[in-house]
Amino acid sequence: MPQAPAARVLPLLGNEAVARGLLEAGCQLAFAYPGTPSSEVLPALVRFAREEGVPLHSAWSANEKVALEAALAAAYCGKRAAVVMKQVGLNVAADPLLSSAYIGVRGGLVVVVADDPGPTSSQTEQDTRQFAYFAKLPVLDPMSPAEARDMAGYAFDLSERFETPVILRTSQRVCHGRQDIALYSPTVLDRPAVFARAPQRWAATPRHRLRLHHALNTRLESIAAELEECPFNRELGSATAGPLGIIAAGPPLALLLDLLAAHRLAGRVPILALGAPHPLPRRLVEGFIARFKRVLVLEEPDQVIELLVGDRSRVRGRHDGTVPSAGVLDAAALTRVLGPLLAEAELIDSPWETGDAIRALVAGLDLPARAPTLCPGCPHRASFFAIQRVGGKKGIYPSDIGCYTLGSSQGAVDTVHDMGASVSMATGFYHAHAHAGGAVPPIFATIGDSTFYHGGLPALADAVTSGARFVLVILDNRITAMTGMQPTLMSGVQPDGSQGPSLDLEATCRGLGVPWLKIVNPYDVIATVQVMRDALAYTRAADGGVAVVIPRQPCVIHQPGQYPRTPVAITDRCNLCGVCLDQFGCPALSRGAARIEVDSIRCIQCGTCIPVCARGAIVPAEEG
Amino acid sequence: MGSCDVVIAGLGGQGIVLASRVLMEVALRQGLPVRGAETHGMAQRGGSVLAHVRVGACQSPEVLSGRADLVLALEHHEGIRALPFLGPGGTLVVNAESPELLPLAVRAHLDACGAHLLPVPATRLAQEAGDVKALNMVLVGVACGLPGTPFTLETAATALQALVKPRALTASLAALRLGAARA
Repeated sequence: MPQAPAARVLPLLGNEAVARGLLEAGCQLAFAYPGTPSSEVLPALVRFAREEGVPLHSAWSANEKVALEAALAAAYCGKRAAVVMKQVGLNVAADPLLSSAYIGVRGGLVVVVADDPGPTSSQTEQDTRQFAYFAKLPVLDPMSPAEARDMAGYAFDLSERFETPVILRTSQRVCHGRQDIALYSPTVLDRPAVFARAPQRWAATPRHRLRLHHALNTRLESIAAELEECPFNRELGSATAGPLGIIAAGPPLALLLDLLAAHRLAGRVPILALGAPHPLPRRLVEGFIARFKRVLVLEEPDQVIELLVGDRSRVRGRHDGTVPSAGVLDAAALTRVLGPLLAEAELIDSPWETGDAIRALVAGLDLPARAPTLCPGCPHRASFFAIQRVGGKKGIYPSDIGCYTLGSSQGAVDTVHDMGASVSMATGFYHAHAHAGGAVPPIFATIGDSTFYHGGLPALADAVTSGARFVLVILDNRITAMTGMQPTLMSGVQPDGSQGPSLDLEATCRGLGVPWLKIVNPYDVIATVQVMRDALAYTRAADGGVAVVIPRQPCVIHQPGQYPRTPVAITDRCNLCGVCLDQFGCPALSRGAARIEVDSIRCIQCGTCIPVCARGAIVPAEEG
Repeated sequence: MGSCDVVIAGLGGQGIVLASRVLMEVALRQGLPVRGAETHGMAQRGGSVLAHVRVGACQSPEVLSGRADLVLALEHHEGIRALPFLGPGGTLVVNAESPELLPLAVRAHLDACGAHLLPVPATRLAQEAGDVKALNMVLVGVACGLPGTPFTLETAATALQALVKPRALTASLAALRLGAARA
């Protein structure tokens, strides 16, 4: 299907390689919600489409469920569509995903889901391949950016031939790995949208769903038969039998090959690469296992292959503790797993040097912990300071998913659960305390603007109508910051940079029945503290309810320089009490020998730290 | 030398990803296969950041532990943290005025495994180049200047023109050359 390679070879990020593969295979519509490690796919797709002059509809959707449903409808019409999200986003999209396996598609639909073993930027280490098993959908698991590009095209092909969505599961080390890749020309499909009405399929009742379930099971058997021969499921090496074989997939497969090569064992250990593990090509996998005394399964972040194998008596992996059951399977972890097994198989004399000695040396040096922090001048810091000042030690602070989880260091983030949960959990905290006439502590929920539209809307409708009383602080920095500056629905900016219809946050809240709402500039810390006080008072008034405060100031990375500059100095009134470090914690401030010091390189001169010092030791520089 | 494994270590905001992009571009322009890995997301907010650059035939984007030819540390603590990557005979290039900035135990370990320590006053050199933010390019320059690496200074200078913002180009080029002279 892909045509002759174009002249260009580019070092593509794995996410860019996925985008390239989708476009080369004729993707016409793409929907996504940003989330590390998936966020770079959609922008790259838009960029490639523009460079190649390919018409592409793209959208940053309100959330993953909405994105998948829009993509499904496009695929119902025979178009090739893709939807992109991170692994926890698939939880949000689970409802349409499970139904989609039964109902299927006509045009190709590729569901790109990025897993995050580690986890580096996620709440869980869940394995999307298990989700594929649960949803009864085929799944592909690339070991490298180049393989991710190739699999994207294969996924469209598989999807259309079997009329099923196909999951392309990437993992963090593929998403953010780079590799030189020769680009192919994109396939430009000239397909009009044709929706063939068929209510017994698209709107199937439960009776029809049973029939669809039988058909789905038959389809899975056909796909499994194809995966027996699929180019991504292949044996490396030619050994017919022996003491040890390894089944591997995804990033652990790439590492395994490098480790064996580094130890001059390349080609000496039989490997079954299994990039398309579900539906399991049982003949291939169980035939491989039968030939060896022991078979090690290397997959991540959880078990799929070893769970699907019927007889595990020869299989070593996570189920018997041979492979650690949490955390990323990096070179060090893999070395520890492989050494003893290779020694037992007499392929090496003694287990490999694990490097644990140097790791212990480094661990013993007490290096400074590098917890991520809000950026110098981040408007969230000022908002959290004001919230903490008003809510105090007795306050309860449910928060949400985004940069602002870092407000925990200011004592203003007590819970972080899932997208939108700050609002619903604030409702729960209120009713738990108010139940049977109990006293209610101050409750301040914090949520970002993008997260609010993702998961906060139904939660706020519920909060208002359930009679809950708390302060909802919607931190409006005009952008989805943590994931790399994607536009929010409020801006109306499309992935291609064009301006579309925008949403009004205040009108949204008022439309959901919020009676009390104030907007404040968080850089005016004194005014922000006062607004938080007024909001808290409203939640406690006789006719009070949910109060919404919107601190509004652009992200300092997104729009640097949108504020009056106020360089600061520290006077000799500073007694090193540390309040500015503990409760404000700007990385530009540090403890010096005699007083707090300002790092003039990191300070962005927002001046928000001035009112933080009760002794008045932080002053505008011209006064110092 | 056609293959080279590099780990770049530092803090979020120091330009580590850009440094890795430049090294990859240099290798690519010399017709060598490249792979690499980057830190994105939460850790970029001031946390420890690592980037890997691998030149030559390999499968994984990540340098194997104990196999790096070169560790470039934009900050010395982060250089120590990345030490498990350094291979026997490799070089730890660290942003430091003197080797004494590193604990004795670290220096002893480097000696014991035949690795080299190269302190480079990269922050000062970047200031001399006209922009302290060009610190990353000082270390890229060192990587180009060291004997045996596949990175050449002239290719790096060309690659910079494609990857660095025009207003930062002059300081970046100067930083590159100051770094190379320290190798």
